[in-house]
Order: sequence, then structure tokens, then C-alpha cells
Amino acid sequence: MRPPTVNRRPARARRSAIAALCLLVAGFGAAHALGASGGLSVTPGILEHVAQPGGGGSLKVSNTTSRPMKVSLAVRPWLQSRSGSVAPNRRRVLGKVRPNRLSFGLRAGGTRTVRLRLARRPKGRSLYGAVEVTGTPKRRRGKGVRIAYRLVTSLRLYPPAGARRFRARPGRLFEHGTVRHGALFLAVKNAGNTIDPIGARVRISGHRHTLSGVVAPKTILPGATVNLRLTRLRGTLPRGRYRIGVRLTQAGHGVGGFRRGVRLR
Amino acid sequence: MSAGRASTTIWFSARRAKRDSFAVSARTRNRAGALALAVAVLATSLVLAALARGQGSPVPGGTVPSTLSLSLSQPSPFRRAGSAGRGSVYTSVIHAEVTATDTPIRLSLADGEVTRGPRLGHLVRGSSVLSPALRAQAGGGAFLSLDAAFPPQLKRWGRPLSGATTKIRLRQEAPDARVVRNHHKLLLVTLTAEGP
Repeated sequence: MRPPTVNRRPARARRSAIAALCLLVAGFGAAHALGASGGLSVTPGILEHVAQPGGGGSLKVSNTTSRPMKVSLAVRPWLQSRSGSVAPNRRRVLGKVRPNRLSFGLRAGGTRTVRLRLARRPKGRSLYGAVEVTGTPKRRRGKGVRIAYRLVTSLRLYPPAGARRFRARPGRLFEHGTVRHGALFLAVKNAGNTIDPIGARVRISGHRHTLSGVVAPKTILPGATVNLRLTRLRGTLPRGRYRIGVRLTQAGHGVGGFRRGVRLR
Repeated sequence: MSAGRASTTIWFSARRAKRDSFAVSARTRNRAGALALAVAVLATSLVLAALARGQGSPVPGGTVPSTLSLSLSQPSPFRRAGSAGRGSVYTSVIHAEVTATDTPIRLSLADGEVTRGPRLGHLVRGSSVLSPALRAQAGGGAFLSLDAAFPPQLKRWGRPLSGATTKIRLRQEAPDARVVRNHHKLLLVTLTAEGP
């Protein structure tokens, strides 16, 4: 004899309805939390112009929050680490580029256009920097964590067509780790005035082994030095002395190279 | 004997008839399926032909201005999330919404009060500095300390975003909740479009 069947549908439907309601409330809460505070936006995301005195372009800054905001603007040089990552250098400003307003108040829902002007011709005929727009919502100075918005857009003032220089200077060649688990790096300095990524072709020979390959290009700021990883060492080469040939390339141009001996440990 | 053979014959004939009826029904089903397929192919080809005749290949698209936008919620109050050493761990959450057209897009967090020194990345109150430093995480990554000279990158996107949401979690170790509540810090939630 079969046991009496229990109709589970209403309970299941109730549970589903409660779950859906919870999701809806959570979603609405998150949306409300975001919507209530709104945000800050900058257009365009990248400013690109030819480096000519007087030029520089303009930025539109919008406050979409429901409260007034204090906006400050700074044009800073980039700081590039040896691994290639970049951040605006918050201790310096690019004096050659002058915004028409350094700070201003922006009411709720307000928009303001800021013009940038290149005061004089830069030394290398090009200039690359970060435009840092910081928006602090007006609020009593209180305890706990307060937040402010910081939008970093890229300012690229390219050299005129006839003044573009592609040049790279190879530096120290070094091994990180061992031949089993390591990599071979080359410090490369961008001695030109463009930010076209710099790559390389590499050939390592010796001990009846030859290894050749193409190094993934990296963006290096003019004047900055970044370590390019020439190859990974995974036990394919035994220890000993090798001859290394490197040819650096930038925007399809050969921009430098060398042949050196290196001892792999 | 003959009766037995006759019954066998009848049984076989009945079985064959049943099999034949199955075969007939299968054939009918195959025919119906083929007919439906033919009708579907015809309808699809007619629709495609009409589209091609009307306005060429249907390619949706458009252009948007290059933009960078960040929306943030207020940080939630610090809540106890566990214990660590002699104190407790307190966490707070900030909801962020990102819209950006130029890739890669990086989200990082920096100290908005100082750029160097012992107060960098620490909650402070007057001359008192809460140790260890505040840590942050976004999108399931590792918690990174905010006292580094290079602001820690919390998240990176390699594609354009429109209203992408992420949670920034802050973590502070402290002896009790009152200590965390009484200290303060201004944090710069930073969105960077592309590199140099």
C-alpha cells in the first residue's frame, strides 16, 4: 500500500518566491546604494594630440552623485617600475601642461569642461603624462573610512610626424633563478620619444644547443628602463657559457641590438 | 502436430503484423519529421532572403565617446569577521560600478592623505597610527596592503566595460571594534584607463 502523497508544490513555490524576493531586495539594495551615491566620470578616457605649444585638448568632468563634490585636477608624470607597470607619480606635476582650472566645486549632476594647454615645446618633442581627476564628496570630516574618486586618464602628446625617434638602449643582461627554474632578462631603456612597444628577437647558442624566439613587446616610457624577459629557463639548456644575440624592434624598426656572452648557472 | 504448426504460424503472423505496424508508424514519423524539416528550411531561407533583399546583412553596431566613469557606494561599517593573533579582524565593503571604453582598465586603492611615511595606508587618529596597515581586495583576489609605495592594483579588466560591478573589501586587524571606529582614513578609489 502506497503512503498518502503529500503535495509539496505549495511549499516549494513558497520557498522559491521567498528566495526570489530576497534576491530582488538584495539587488535593489545594491542598486540603491550605488545610485544614492552616484559617481564621477571623465570624457575622453585618453587625450591624444600633437605636442605643439598652445594645444592640449579638453576634458569634460561630470558629477552624477546627489551631492556636491570638490574636484581637483593635476597633470602628473608616469612612474614606471622595472616590471613595466605604471602609476601616476603623486609627488610631482608636469609643469609644462597647465589646466585652466586646478580645482572647482561641482554641484550634483553638474558638468564642467577643463582645457589643458601645453605651455612650451617639450624637450624630446613629446610628452606623456597622467591627468588625475580627484573628486571628494562634500561631507563633514568624520571617523572611519571615507572615500574619494580618482580617475586617471592618459595624456599623450605625440611628436610631429617628422620628429619621431625610435631608439632603444640595451642594458644589463641577467639571469633570475637557475637554468631549471628561472628566466633571462634584459634591461632596456627607451631612448626615443614614442611609446610604441619595444620587443626583441633573441638567439641563444652554445653547448650544442640553440634557442631562438620572439620577445613579447612592452610599452616603455621615453627615458624609462624596463626588464624584458628574453626567455624562460626550464631545464632546456645545461649550465655553462652561451652566446646571446638580441635584436630590439619598435614599430617595425630595428632599434638596437648586441651580441654578448653569458654564463647560466 | 498440424494443429500445433498452425498455432505457431498464427503466432508468427501476429508477431509480424505487430512488427509491421511498428515499422509503418516509424516510417510515418520519419516522413512527418522530414516534412517539418523541409518546412523549417524553406521558412529560414525565405526570412534570410527577405533580410538580404531589405537591408543587406544585419550587423548591429555604433560608436560611443571614450569615457571613464566610476560609481561608489558608501563603505559599510566595519564588522567583525574573525580573529587574528590577539585581536580581531574587521571588514568593510564598498560597491563599485565601472564604465570604461579604453582597455586595459585597472582598479586600485591609494591613501588619500599621505604619499609616504609611517601613516601611509594605516588608519590614524591624531598622532596614533593603527597597526597593521589596512588591506584591500576586489573580485576574489588576494588582500593587498595599502602601505606599499606603489598603490596595489586590485583588479584589471581587458575589455571595455559598461556598468560592471565589483566589491572592494577592506580588512583591518584591531584589538576591538571601538578602536577601528575611532580611527579614520581617506581612501582614493582609483580607476586608470590604459597605460601611458
